[in-house]
Amino acid sequence: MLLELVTTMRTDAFLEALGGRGDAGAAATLTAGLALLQQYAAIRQRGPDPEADDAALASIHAQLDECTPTDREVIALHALAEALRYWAAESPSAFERRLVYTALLHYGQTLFGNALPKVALTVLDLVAVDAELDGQHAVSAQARLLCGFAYRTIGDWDASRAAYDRAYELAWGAGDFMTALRTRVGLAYNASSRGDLPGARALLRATAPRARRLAPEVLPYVYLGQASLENISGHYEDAIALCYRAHQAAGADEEMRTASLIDLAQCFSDYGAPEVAEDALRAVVRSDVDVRHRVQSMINLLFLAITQRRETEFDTLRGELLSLPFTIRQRTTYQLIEAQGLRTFGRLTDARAAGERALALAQEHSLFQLVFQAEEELRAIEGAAAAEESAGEQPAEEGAPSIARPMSRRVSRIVGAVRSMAAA
Amino acid sequence: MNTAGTVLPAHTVGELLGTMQSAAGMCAIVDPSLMTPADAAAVVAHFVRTPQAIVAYAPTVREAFESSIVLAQGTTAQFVFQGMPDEAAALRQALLLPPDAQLGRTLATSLAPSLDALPHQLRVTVGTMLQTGIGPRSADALAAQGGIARRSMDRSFEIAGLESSRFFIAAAQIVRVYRAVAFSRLPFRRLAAMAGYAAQRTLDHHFETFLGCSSGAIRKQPLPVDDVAHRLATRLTLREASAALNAPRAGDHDAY
Repeated sequence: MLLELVTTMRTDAFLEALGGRGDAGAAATLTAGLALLQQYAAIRQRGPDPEADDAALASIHAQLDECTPTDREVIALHALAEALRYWAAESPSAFERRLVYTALLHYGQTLFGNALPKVALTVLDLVAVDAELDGQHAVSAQARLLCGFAYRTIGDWDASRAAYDRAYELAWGAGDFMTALRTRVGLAYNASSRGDLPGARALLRATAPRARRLAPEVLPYVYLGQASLENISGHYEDAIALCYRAHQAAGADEEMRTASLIDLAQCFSDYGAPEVAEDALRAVVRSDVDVRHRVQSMINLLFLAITQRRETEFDTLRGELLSLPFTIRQRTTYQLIEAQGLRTFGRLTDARAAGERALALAQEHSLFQLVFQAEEELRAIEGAAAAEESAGEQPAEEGAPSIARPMSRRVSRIVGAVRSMAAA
Repeated sequence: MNTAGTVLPAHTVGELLGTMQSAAGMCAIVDPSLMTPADAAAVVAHFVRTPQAIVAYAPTVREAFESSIVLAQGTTAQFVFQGMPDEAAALRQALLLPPDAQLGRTLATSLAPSLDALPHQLRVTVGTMLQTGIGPRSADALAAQGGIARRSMDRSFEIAGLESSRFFIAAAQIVRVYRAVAFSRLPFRRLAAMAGYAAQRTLDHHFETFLGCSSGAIRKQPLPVDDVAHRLATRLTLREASAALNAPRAGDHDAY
């Protein structure tokens, strides 16, 4: 009964996502994903049936061959289908089962990256439970860590907390200290999102020394978490220092170096030094990092162009962004910022259209925070239109000036470092 | 990772095998997605002749799986999958704490008759854990991975005449860190933290309990691998343990 219910929920999540995928290729990929999950569930439930399983997996491979081969989802599904082939053989070893769980986890991550959190959650939950039942606690812990993040993204705080707590227990038992300590950072973000800043601060303060001792790779995550808390609290200089510390602690981890640089730019922007923020973002755009980070940095530059009232740069960046691939979340954020920019520059008809596109995308993909922001933006656009009608042409507002505040020596040093990164 | 040593790149499997041959104490890092199953089989054949630490740093793509399975079946390679949440730490641990493949194999072989009395899945789990030094860190997690209830597992160990599961977990940790303790220049404190010991004192205590000498003494004068395996096996086998530990063998302590 429970199994049926879970299967139905999984199918429902996929069908709901399928309804929202206009692109035929993307829909075909999702259909193949559902078929593979059903195949996995069948093999797990009834045991392998080599003849039937081989035929089913070959058919799914063939179906995937018609999709874009470089699409991350397609690559992840090919890997999953291949891994299942070994499970479909008689008595798979623990390593072969681990391969399947790892491939499922990778597929779940990819779905999450493509802003399909509900579908991703059905996959990640499946891995978390099955791997735990199979005694593969390390994989289960990692799946639960990602579940905690995904639940947090869709605003289900209690489920997120439960997932993080279980991930912690499992990871600790499996000796995976990195995952265990990352759950603490996730819990701190959870607490801060619910307004419990002291709780979040205490959690991160307690995690830092443990991370330093057991898994130094977690330190940049801890510092970025602390930076975000300081930024929210208005302690911008501390936030900047912590972000920079995260950047330094990231060492050779390019992904984390880039993420910390993007956060550093955010802190500089909030501090009132947008020109330094721009330098940091331009350093990311020019670097050879994953295209997702470059797109994110360009969207942030677009936002800075709006706050600085630089219309020409705003239009140039929009043009450059058109040729780049977006994730769903990035596309929604882009549309929202575009709407904001067009409103700021008085192009209200275009702004309304962009705002409506952002709202539709956010609703379609359950990006609730962006739904609220898009609704707010649309109200602001209507307000601006009404004001324009009643008062005629409004003079353009001046750009938000940089705040001329005395910079502390430590921030000046960081500014210097950012500038040299941008110049390099 | 400077303390880890020198890096020798190998662009083909032939080069890799040549390097593994000439530097037997090295840790080989391979990408299974760049190897054919035949290449992987060649690495396995080399491993069978000369056990060596191998790290398979694999992307989660279908091209990597067949070779990965060949490597997993024939060697004690540690697998680190790219893009997973624990990637950075797992890779660091794999490179800085490569288990001693010879030690793992000798230990598993000498305990094989006793391990045979354990239920199949538990036997496989414990065997793998002893060979690779990687595995659960708690008795509950070991029971779960062994597909058996905790109490049944405890009973199985007792019936087989083996020490408790906690001892096996501790012994696997020694297999994991022995090489780094004996041959690297990593500070013990850092090494203990990386291996998950509560403190350096705990690492020392485990070495004293299982090998009869401290980690510092091992670094000054490493024990031969067969001797380490023998001491561990003795400590893990209940009936032999007390007698063997109480009767010092000639030359055991002279060196320290």
